[in-house]
Amino acid sequence: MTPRAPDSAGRRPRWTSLPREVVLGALIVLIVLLLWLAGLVYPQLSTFFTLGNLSAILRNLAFEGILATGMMLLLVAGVFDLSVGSMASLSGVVAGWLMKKAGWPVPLAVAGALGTAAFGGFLNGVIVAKVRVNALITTLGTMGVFSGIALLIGGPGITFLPESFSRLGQEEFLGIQAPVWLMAALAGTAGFLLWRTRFFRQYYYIGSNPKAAHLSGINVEGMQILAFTIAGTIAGLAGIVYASRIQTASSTVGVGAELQAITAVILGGASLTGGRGTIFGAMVGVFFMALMKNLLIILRTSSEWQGIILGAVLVLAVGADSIMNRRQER
Amino acid sequence: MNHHEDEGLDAREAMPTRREVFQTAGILGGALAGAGLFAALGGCETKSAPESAPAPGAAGGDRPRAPKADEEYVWLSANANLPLFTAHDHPALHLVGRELGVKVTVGGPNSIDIPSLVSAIEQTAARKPAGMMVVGWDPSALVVPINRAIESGIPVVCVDADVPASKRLAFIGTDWYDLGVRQAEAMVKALGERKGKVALLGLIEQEIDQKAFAGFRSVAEKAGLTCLEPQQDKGNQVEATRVAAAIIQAHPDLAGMAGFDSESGPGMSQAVKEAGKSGKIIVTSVEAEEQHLRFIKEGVLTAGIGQKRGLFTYMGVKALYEINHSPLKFTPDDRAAGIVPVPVVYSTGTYTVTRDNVHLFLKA
Repeated sequence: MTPRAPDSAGRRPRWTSLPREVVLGALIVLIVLLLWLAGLVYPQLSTFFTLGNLSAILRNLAFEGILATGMMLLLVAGVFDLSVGSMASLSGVVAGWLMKKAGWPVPLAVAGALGTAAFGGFLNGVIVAKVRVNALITTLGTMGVFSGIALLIGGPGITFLPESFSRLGQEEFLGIQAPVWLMAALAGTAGFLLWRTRFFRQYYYIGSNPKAAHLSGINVEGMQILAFTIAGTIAGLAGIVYASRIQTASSTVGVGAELQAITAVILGGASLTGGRGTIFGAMVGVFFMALMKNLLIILRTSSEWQGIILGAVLVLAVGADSIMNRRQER
Repeated sequence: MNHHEDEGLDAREAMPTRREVFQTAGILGGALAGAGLFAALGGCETKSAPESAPAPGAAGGDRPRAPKADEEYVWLSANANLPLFTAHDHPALHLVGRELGVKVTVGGPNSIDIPSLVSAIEQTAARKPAGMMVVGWDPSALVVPINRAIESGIPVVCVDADVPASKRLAFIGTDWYDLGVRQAEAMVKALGERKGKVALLGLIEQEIDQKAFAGFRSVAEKAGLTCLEPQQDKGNQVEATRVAAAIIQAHPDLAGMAGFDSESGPGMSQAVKEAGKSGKIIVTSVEAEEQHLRFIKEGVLTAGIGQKRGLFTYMGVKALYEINHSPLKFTPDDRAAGIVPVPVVYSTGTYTVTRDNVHLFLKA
């Protein structure tokens, strides 16, 4: 459920958004239907419904899922960050470099990489909120800066990272890898904070109407800087966890991940104009995209058609939501 | 969107203002300067300038063997800072630049952006370098800019990937059909008597990958293997892992996987390892970078087919240099006759890394 800021007419904020919930519900139903269809068409694929397959799907969506958590926070606040993929690459490389080249202990190296990511996010926040540069331009620029620095430090990649580090991303519990549990914990925490705490709910007001939020005494600039810092740190965490999973710090793992994350959160209920969306929705979006991609491969769809179908689903889902919103406003 | 902006952002408002662009340029300029300083302090390699002039060759004919002052050779590619390029192609470029005493420059966009690559070729040609090497990311879109450069008197060779329909003077790179054959041979050898399905991953729209798929199929299908339709991994390890994991689930009887871009191998290996099928699914891939070597050492990746990447730029500059300075003459005016004093195709070859010889490639 998405709390909303008061609109310009001063009407009472809506605590529920029926179209949004309808879209999310439809997505979940669609996911279940797709699963069922896959089983019907290819009954021989008994492995599809096994824990092994679910685990593989989850394992491969964790990276995007973690990124999507931070991206949803930003979109609720009415901004977005195109540099999160590059930041994920950079933080993984910084962690790897500190461990392998500088000889730092694993916890310190991880802390150093997270600190770098937080600083990168903070820098984005300051440029957007204080210098008042458009978020698209700012983060497009820092995307290049972060990925360039990652290449300078990491080159083609830093391999053979310490075993104690790789355990972080490779441990399993109930057949599910640690990054998935981390994503779930992060999403749960972020979802709770955004839904239940007065402090984080301010982001809905900021995203819906930044001017009104400012006039009502909310420190909009500070909150935006905080949102970018949190999103940067989360992106850093995603990069570190992925480096741990593959025991290698690759300077290009995050290429294109920002668009995947934005796609998933928009699909899951966020709006590019801000003020809407939930972490639950972001997770549904991420899960939906991952499932669609998985099913298209299972169904032997050619790569060209996969792109067409995924793009069409995104446009249809967002278009339908937009139409429903307009109807509701009338 | 900033808090000072009014609600109801429209498309015009979403566009950055000139002030914003200048502000960002200033900020990013500072950041880039910092990054440059970081690189310099860290001892990272930068673009080479000529360090010493070579001894002039005992050249006959009317072309001087020694380079002119500021003789410049430019390497142009999309995704110009791909780790694979920065690890092999760029260092070899700077090496040959120092060796010949010429200036060498790297150019092109940092993403797979063909229009920007076309623009980079045209803008570079406008400053009249002594020669250009172009990585043929698109065999049709690059024809016109390459031909224009050639017609304006600039020697152009293709490296790594060819643009055969253009007037480029030579191609220096791997024979991708042969690379596919090598992978298939390694796959068939590792499978022994086993038959079954083999998945192919790569940048499926790339002509070089298509050649490699054809080479792979020519051997694999004769050996009784069934090649699945190639899947797109976008040249991204995360995507390659995800796609490979889905293929493993979709085909429980999968016998092997073959990857045809630099990220396919690590991605497929990771997926196979996580599915607990190391050794059961035979994995082969192009390239033998550190990540590939790690998986080969672990026994997950059976074979990595390495390209002699350093030769692309090393031989590329040498070919262009010979075109400008060779004493060999076939006619009184070779340029007018359309004759160049270098081979038209340099096949740089490959090498196969397996668990038996991986120790030779791993850094100490």
